[in-house]
Amino acid sequence: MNLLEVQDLDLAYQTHRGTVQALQGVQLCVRPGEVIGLVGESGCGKTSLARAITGVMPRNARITRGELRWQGVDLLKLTEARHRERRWREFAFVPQSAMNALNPVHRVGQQIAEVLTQRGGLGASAARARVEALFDQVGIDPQRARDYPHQFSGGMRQRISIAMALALQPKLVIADEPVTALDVIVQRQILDLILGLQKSLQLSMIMVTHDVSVVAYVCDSVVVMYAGQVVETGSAAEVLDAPLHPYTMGLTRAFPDLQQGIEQLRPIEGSPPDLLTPPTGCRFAERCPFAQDACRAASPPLRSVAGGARSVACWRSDEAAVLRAQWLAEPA
Amino acid sequence: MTANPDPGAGLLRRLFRLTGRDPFALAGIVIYVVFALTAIFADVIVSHDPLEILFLPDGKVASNQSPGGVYWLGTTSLGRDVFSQLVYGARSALMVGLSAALMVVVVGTLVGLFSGYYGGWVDAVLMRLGDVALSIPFLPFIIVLAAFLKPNIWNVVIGVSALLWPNTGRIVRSQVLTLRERSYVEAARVSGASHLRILFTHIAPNVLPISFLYGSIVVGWAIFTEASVSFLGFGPSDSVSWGFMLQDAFLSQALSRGAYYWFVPSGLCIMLVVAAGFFISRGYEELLFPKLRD
Amino acid sequence: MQTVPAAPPDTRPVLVEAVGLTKAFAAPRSMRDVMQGHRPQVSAVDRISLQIRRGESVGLLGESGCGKTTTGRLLLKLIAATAGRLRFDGMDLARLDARQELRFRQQAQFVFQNPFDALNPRFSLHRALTEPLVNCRIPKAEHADRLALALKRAHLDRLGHLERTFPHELSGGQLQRIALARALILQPEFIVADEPVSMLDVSVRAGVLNVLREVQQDMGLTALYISHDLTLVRYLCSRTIVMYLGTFVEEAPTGELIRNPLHPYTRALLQAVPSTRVGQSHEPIPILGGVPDALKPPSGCRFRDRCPRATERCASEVPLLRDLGGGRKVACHLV
Repeated sequence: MNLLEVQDLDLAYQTHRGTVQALQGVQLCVRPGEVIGLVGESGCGKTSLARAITGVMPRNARITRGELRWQGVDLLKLTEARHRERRWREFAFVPQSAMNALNPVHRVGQQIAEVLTQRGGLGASAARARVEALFDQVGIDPQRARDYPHQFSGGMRQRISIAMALALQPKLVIADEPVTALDVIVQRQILDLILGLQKSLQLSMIMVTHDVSVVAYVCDSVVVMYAGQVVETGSAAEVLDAPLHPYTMGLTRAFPDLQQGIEQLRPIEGSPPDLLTPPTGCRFAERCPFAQDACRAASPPLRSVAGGARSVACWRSDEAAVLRAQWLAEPA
Repeated sequence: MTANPDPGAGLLRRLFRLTGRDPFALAGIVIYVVFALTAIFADVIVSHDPLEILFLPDGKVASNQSPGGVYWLGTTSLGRDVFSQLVYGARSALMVGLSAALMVVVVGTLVGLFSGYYGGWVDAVLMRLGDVALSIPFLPFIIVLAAFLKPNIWNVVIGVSALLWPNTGRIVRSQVLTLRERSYVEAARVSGASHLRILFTHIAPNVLPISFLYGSIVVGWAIFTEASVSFLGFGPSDSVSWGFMLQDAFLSQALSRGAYYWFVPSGLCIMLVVAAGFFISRGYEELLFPKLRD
Repeated sequence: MQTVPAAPPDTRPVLVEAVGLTKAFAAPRSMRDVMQGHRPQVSAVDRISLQIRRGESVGLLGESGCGKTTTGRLLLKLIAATAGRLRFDGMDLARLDARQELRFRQQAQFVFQNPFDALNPRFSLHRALTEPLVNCRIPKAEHADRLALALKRAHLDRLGHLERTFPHELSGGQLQRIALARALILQPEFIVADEPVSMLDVSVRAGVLNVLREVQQDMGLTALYISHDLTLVRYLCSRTIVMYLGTFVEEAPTGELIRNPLHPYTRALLQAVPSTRVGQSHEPIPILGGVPDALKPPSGCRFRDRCPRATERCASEVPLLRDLGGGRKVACHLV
């Protein structure tokens, strides 16, 4: 059965300027052992979704609709205490600034041990042993458990954050932009580490990122988000090679690739809509080179195509092949 | 990615919201306004000169009269009208407070700007001067100053400013140290701006809000200091202040005679103005650096 | 489509020239250092030499901490060099009088990494854009035309009400283009762009990169692009210099650098970049990760403690940047 099922999720933030509709009708499915990439630009709701799943949200966030089923149980209907029981034990979160989220005045081993004793119910020596095992797994010398965060480089601190997430052996790890702030060579090492851990521990993962190459390297399937909605899903290979939604076409053409020839970059003009007053109709219509009247009139639903393996929210999805060729051919 | 919050933007809008949320700051503003109006319209409000010795109808000096009738707050032992003195005291209190605050803001800001921006020996010299000023004991210095120079309201102002500018100077300096590293300052250098130009067009406007914050704290201090100095007898004898009133009352043993109408009002006024100044500073600080709200 | 200029003929005049340029900072001192009278130094930039010819677009590639940002600032006289010579259009930058300094400022401009920080939040866009004109004493009569032209070049001509618009109202991509317009308003001959798109959102980067490329070609600008992103350098630069721990390790026409990297560090960098297509990423070259300690760089070649092919000679002798002909230079004993 699916490990995680997000059905029709709506999330809003109450701000002094009004209600910001951060997520709308979001659908997501995670199977055991699957790595999903959650892709989109800043403000699309991917971090909000990640936080909604773990249940750690700012005070002004409200989930107004939908279900969040973890192994069949709807997390939204649980009390905070029951939700907290599952947190970190069943699913763990590596936040965006994980590197800076380590407490600078405590030794790193101690910080992980604290998780083990307070939440995992381990005794002190069992915790110590587990910390050493974790450090081994993430490729850090266990002797360094006595060091402080500032004594480590950025890449190593990221490894420590990953170790902390794995402490209680969760089934799902959600990583929010895990390699964005790292240099190229270290980035690759961390990605390889994540891949290795995922295979050996049979983890499910949700990788939240705006970097398409990370998705291509690590993820089995992709969920593309735009302005609080899911616009396309499918396997990583299919979505990146033959995108169906114009936004995905734009995203994949926004990165020049070292391996391919130098084509002209096709930017996506404009900026995402203000979610205080989201537009009626397709939210991408304003920036879409293929928008028609139908697009501005009504918002396209997320529909399954290709026998259920992929889905896309676009009125013109059956013309996708033609539009792709057009996107590439159009002069800048 | 969001832009850096800027203390100055939307200031007026936040001012209105804040006075609604912070009753103390509102009370402080009201108190200030009342005293300011009193000070400005002193001549209109009172009928007697505060130092004028008044006489009863029967020719005797109107000394130690209880409040009531002609003398709203009674008279002093020398026959002067307490109410008139109170009202004119507001004038001198506000003058002292605002002048000292202005001087501290000007000197502290200039020092902080040059110190923080140029660094090096300029910074070293100015900060050491500040250290000297901070190490001098406050009240004794003012008293000594008053003893050597004429006991004059401006000497109190100068004395207070001379000792209180370093705090503002240091805070401004640390702000400048941060602002100096901003990309837009470098961008100004790249486009040919001279150092002075950068200092006064880019950096100064961003530190002024903090300077005024510290200035607002000085108002209360200055008034309080002037009152203390006058109470101890080193204040000016030709103008009336609340401290002067307290001294007068003390020397005439007003407490043992139960002449509460004489010293309680002035003491209360000092307390109110200083407290109001404090509340306003707190409100202003909240305005400048709003805590994150949901 | 010819997207990058052809390899420059050697006859184009040299605009920017640096010889032995060095920048050292005082390093934090321990108690022992103080007692022994040590003043340890960190060389952020160590004796680099380069030449940039008119009309060239050069990339300066390296990871964080390699000194590329410091180099950019040195070239624009934003920080003072500890040693070495710097010439711009023949002028010795260390010996400029006030008038020449102003002329230099007009001709050499900088685009900063963080668009949110590069504009004073209190200045309206109009004020921010015309500030360089005021600083360089350009007559007011010319302001309107220059402003319109700069905005047009940055694809911002449809942005109105500049006197009433402030930075916090714009998105990252727009801000960076405003910053670019500000750099262009003086009609400079040389610009240095420090990580111009790294802080921008993915979908916006392409737009800014295209503007940069277009501007450079239309204005015949000479440009130095500082970046850690190989794909950016490939898109914009005809020639690329690779930097590591304060020194230049390789220099080559960009296409050749990517097709045939010679220095082990360059090779590791290229292998490490993941592809945007599934299953097409290269196998990474194993080198020890982690940022090297700039305070105590290894003896000899600075890369030797991470290099998979280091020899004894690498530890004892510093490899110099050798010219191999055809615009290629490498600093490595094994090449």
